[in-house]
Parts: sequence; C-alpha cells; structure tokens
Amino acid sequence: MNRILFVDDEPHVLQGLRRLLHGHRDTMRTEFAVGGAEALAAVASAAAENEPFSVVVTDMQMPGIDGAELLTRLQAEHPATIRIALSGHSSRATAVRAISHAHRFLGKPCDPEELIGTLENAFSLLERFPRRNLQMAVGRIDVLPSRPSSLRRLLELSSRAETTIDELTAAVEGDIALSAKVLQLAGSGFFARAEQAPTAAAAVARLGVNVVRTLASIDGPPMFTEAASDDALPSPTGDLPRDLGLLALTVLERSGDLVDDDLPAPELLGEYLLALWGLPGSETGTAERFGGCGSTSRARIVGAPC
Amino acid sequence: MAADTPVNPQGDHMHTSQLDSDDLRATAATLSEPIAGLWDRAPIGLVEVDAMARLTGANATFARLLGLEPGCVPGSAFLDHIDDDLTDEVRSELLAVISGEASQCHAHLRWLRSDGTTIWAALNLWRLGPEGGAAGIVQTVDDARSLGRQLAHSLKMEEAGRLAAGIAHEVGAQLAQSLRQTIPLHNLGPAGSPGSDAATAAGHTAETDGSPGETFASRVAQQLGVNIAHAHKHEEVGRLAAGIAHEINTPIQFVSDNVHFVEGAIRDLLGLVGRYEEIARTALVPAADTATIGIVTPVDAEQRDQLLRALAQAGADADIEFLRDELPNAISETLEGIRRVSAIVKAMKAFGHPDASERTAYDLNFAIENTLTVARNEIKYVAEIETHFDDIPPVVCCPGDINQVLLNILVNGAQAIGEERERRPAAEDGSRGLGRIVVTTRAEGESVLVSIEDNGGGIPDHVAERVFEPFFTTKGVGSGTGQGLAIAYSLVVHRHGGRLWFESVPGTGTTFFLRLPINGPLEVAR
Repeated sequence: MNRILFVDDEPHVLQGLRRLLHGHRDTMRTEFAVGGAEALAAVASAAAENEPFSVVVTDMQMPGIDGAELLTRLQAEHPATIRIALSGHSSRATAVRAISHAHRFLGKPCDPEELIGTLENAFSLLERFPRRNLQMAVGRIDVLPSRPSSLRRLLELSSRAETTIDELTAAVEGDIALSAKVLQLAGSGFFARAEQAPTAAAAVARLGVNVVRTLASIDGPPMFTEAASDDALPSPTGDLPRDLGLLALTVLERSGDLVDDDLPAPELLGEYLLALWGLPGSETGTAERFGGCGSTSRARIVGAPC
Repeated sequence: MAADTPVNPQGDHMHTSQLDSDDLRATAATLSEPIAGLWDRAPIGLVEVDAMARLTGANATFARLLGLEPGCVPGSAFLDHIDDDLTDEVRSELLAVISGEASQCHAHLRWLRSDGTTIWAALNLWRLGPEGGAAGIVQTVDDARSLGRQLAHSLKMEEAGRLAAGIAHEVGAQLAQSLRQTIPLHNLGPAGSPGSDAATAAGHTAETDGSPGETFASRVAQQLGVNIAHAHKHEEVGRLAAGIAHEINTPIQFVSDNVHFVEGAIRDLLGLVGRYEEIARTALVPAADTATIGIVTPVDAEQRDQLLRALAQAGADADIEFLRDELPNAISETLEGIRRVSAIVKAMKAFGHPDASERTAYDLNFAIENTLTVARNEIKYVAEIETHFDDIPPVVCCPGDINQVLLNILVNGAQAIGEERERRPAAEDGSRGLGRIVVTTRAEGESVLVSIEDNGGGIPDHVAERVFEPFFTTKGVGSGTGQGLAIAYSLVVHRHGGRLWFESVPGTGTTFFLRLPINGPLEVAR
C-alpha cells in the first residue's frame, strides 16, 4: 500500500488530515511528522525498512528544517518520492520557491477533493511507471536547461515597463523549459483559478505580465539554467510532451543515471514529467500509449507486455 | 515608481510620480562631484560617462553590484564593465548616446563583476548634452522589486498611500537637508522657475535661499521621499498581508478537514443507528395484547450469537471506536481554529481602523496586542513574546501612526533575532532555538513609556548613529528599503512630540524606547 508522510509544524493540521483521510485507509497508509527534523527521521527509517514513502506532503514555512530544505534533501536522498508542497503562504516568492523543489504545489486551505485527487494521481503515476531507476533519475532532475537567447529575451522583457503579454508569450514559447515552468506555475495551488492552463500562452495570460517578468528574479534556487548554446537543446515543435521528453533526455544522458538501454522514449518521458507536475495532456495520452504496442524501448520502460 | 500618484498633503500639483528625464539629466550634471549621502545610498546604481566613453563617476551601489572597490572606478572604459557578448546593435546604441548623437537608450546588459562572474542589470542611459557624455541608472530586477514596484502594481491597497503622503514631508525634508549640505550649489541645474513651489512643499527652510540649486535639490528630495515612503508602505503592507493570510489559511485548513470528517462521521453514525434499528426489530416483537411494545422474544443461543455478530459488524463498518475517540477532538479543534481566525480578524480591524488617522485617546496596551497578533507570522518563527503591561492611561495620538511605529520596531527586532540566529550553527535537528522579545509599558508622569527589548545581535557602534537615517539599512539588497525606523522616528518625534531612542549592547540585544505624551498635540505637526 502507498505510504504517505504529511509534515507540518502545526499538529492540528496533521490531526485534521489524519481524520479526513481515515476513510481512505484502504488505499493509503498515512503517517505524520511534526516539523522537518521528524520528517527526515521518518523518511530514513521507512527507507531502511525497504518500504519508502511514495509521497511526502509538506508545509513550507516551519521552524528549524523548513519545507524547502526538507524537499531539497528528499530530492537528493530519496529522489523517487513524489514531493508535494501544501502551503498557506500566499506570496508569489513562496509559490515559486516551492515549485523549484516540489512536483506539485497545493495551497492551504486545500479542498479534500483536490488533495485526495492529487494523491490518487500520484499513486496511479507510480503504478504506470513502476521502474524505480526511472523514477529516481527523473526525480533527480533539478532544473531543465534553457536556451541562452530565450533567457536573455525574458530578462530583457522583465526590465521594461511596457512589456506586453504577446511579447512574453513569444519568449516563453521559444523555450521548452520556460514553457514547462510557466505551465507548472500556472497550474499550482497558488495561482490556479479553476482548471489547468492548456497552453503556454494561456499560462502566461493567466499568470500575468508581472509574475512572468519576475520569474527570473525570485530569491532562492535558480528557476532556470542556461545551456551552453541554443544549438545544444532541441527546438520546440509545439508537441510539448515530446519536446519536454527530448529536453529531459539531454539531462539524463549527461547525468549518466540511466544506461542507454533504460532511457525512455521521449514522448513517454515527457508524459511522465507532465503527469508528475499535474499538467494536462498527460492522463489520456499516457494510458493510450501503454495499452498499445509502442517501440520496444517504450515497452521496456513501462514494463508493459507487448 | 508607484502606480498611483502620491497625494501631497498640500495639494501641490508639481509632484508627478516619476522624475522626468530633465530632472535626471540635471541630477546627472552634478554627479562628477563627490556627493556623500544620497548619491551613495541611493538603492540603484548611478554612473556618469564622459564623451570618450570613460566612466567618470559611479556610486557605491554600482560598485557593490560589480564587486568593485568604491573609488577605483573613475577613468576606466565604460564598455569594459559590460560582457563582450554585446550585440553590435546595442553597442552602437550606447555609443550614440555617449557621443551625444542620440538622447537616450535602454538596454538589458550582462555586466562583468570583479570576481569573474556576470550579473544582469538594466541600464538607462541619458546624454548630458549635444557634445556627449552620459549619465545612467543601473538597476537589477531585484532592486526594482525591493522598491516595492511589483507590490505597488499588484496590491491596490488604497490605504497604502495615506501614510506615505503624511510622512513624505518629513522624509523629503530630511533628504533636502542632506542634499543641501552635500551638493555644490553652482553645479545644480536647471535654473529653476518652478523650483520655489517645490521647495516650499519640501522643506520649511528651503525658501530662505532662492538659489536654483537649492530648490532643485529640495524638489528631487521631496519626490524621492514621496516615492520611497510609498514604496516602503506598499512593501510592508504586502508582506504583512502575506503573513496574515498564512495565519488564517492554516486554521482554515484544519477546520475544513475536521468538518469534512465530522460530516462523514455523522453519515456513518446515522447509518449505524439504522442498522441498530433493523437488528432491534428482528429481536423484538410487538406485544399482541397490551399497550406495551418491545417485549423481547426469547431467543436461543444461536440466534443471540447471530445478533451480537451483526451488532459488532455494524460497529466495525462505521469504525465506531475511531469515531468515539476522534469526534470530540475534531469538534474542539474546529472551535479552536475558529477562535484563532476571529482573533486575527478582530486585530486586523483594530489595526487598520478607518479612523486610525484621526487623533484619539488610544490604549497602547491594546495597540501592542493587536500589532503582535497582526505581525505574528513575522515573529513566531524566530522569537517568543513576553508582555508586561502596566495600567497606563490612554494616549492622545493617531492610532494608525502608532501602530505603524510599533510594527516597524517589532519587525525590526524580529529580524535582528533572525539574523543573529542565522549566524549561529543549527542544532542537530535543524532548530536554532527561539529568541525573545519583551514588550513593557509603564506610566511615567505625563507620558507613557513603551520598551521593546530583543535579544538579537545588538547594533554595532558604527551603525548606531545612523539607525534613524532614511535609506540606511544593514540588510541585503531586496529585503528592505531602509525606511522603517526612519519613518518611525519621524512619526514619533515630528508628529507626536514624543521620543524614540534605543540602548544596545552588541552581542546581547537592543531595547527600543518609545515615549509619548499623554496629552499630545491635537494638531498634526507639519
């Protein structure tokens, strides 16, 4: 059964979650840690028992080891665990910081449906992509590289008062990592209104000029890294899952975490990342790909019989 | 700078929210002179370039941005400070301004730092005259943010401008004073017809000297004062709002989870009651001939076991043990959450009371309680609070001003403790222990004394004399405009005829003292 760890410095929040999820005890095993230090101990002992947590849901602002630090250490030490931030802090900076460590960002107060839906998605994702080495290699990817020209353009636009949505959209769409980050942010609990933004253009429009402009300047870990040159990265074609997969493959190949035979097909890797971030275009697409017979490498990755 | 035009208390029409390029050019004309004060403390990089594209002047902020020693800049080639991946297009735009062919340009550039790294920052360059030479403003996105621009745009808080307008005078007057002392008058343009109005608005002494330089200095200072005070207020309101949202969101989260649990539990309990009724019906038969119903039919052992099993199953399905343990706590924690939210909403109402700008008799103990509640999120992660409230008479003051003063001092104390904690190594569990803030009130003759003591790192001697100076901050770029204590000082001393001072022992902590006369002046001093 999937093990979930909830972390918060406010015991009442943990008690509330425990009661709320009691009715789901058939499908998930919930555990609770008051604060980051207790969480790290729980994660370590779960790993030692060879029954690691599938998902960790953590508050961001906590005394001692805070959410950002906990998420960073989880990424380094237990990369396969799906990381979800549940924060009541409504500043953009917190949301953006959380996004750079966590796969998903949920805002407090969070509806039970949204919380449970997010957890169920995470479980089904792990079920659909059971290969542990893939989960770990992907979990380790920190920041996807951007084209130097696109970053430069974004920074240029960010310093101008009269920058328009169209200009920003063009800059964002010219770079795969930027598009993905903007979509992830627009779909996060802090910014989301009702539904996910379907395209990068819609995401830019939803976030607004000011937010996108300040993306590059948020304190904390870098949101973007610059590739050596524009040519080192694949060009966006408009097929986001595939583009994203190709981009992530360049990182995985360099990291050497997966041997060549284990490298997934780009479409699948892209779908996996999108699903991990709770982005659209991932649910149905992946399921179909599984059912059918893809290339051999695709079948290998998902472990689906061909 | 700010989105909305600051309201000048005297209705002066001259003060637009931006300095126009004439102003900047005129300011720039003075830059080759060594100007202490404002020039170096301005929170943006300022440079002057001669017609040969040599850097002839740069302020400390610019030097810091590039990691240069202040003073080593003059004479170097301006373009040598910019990364050489500059496109020809941008390069020729810059050179056109420097040589006097174009009037201004704007570019986002990668600057070379002395340690070999690079940093992105925007450059606004204006030509100084047709014969060439230029003055520029160099600003990172962080700088812009620290000035509260984003907040000014995004948080349409009407209240924000109010205080800024009231105190802009004070800040402006102080700046004018410092400029007057430092700017060589002969070097200030433009010979100013409009200057005298501005000077009147800016400072009470400015009109005694009609020199154009003087009036221009006042004008710049006044405008800067308005802008900065405005930015500060926006920044603070924004930060406070985020903290309050956090304080409310957390209880709402557990109230919501508990209520959802209770909803489900009630459904389960009602289901259980239904099952019990069913079981009871099978075990009971109505008495045939009397009014009495509910006589138990004698059952054999097997039937009894069956009934007991059914009861046990119904209880297990509803998880009755769990409900019995958890329901009372779920309700009491829900009430606790509601109590917390009401407390903060009440404190917010008192803190931002609509009449807060009018003078009234105000209970400072109440003010401190409310301010502590509103600022709880700023403090609780670094310090425990202790209050010792004396029985004090109410003080005639502007509650809004005094709330602002208390908030600035408390947040400053919390930040001092936070910085001190950062310097200490963390314990094994990552914790750094909590500091302590002690707030004490005391009646002293015709005044009330409030002391706010923190056990942060204290204020070093070389900093102590500058604590109340506008723009002075020991915090990194982006974390403050350096206006909080300057504003507090101005509000207490100039507007309330009170005193604000501090005692500090480096390494041990700082105590701020605020003394307000009980019967303060009813008229707001201008």
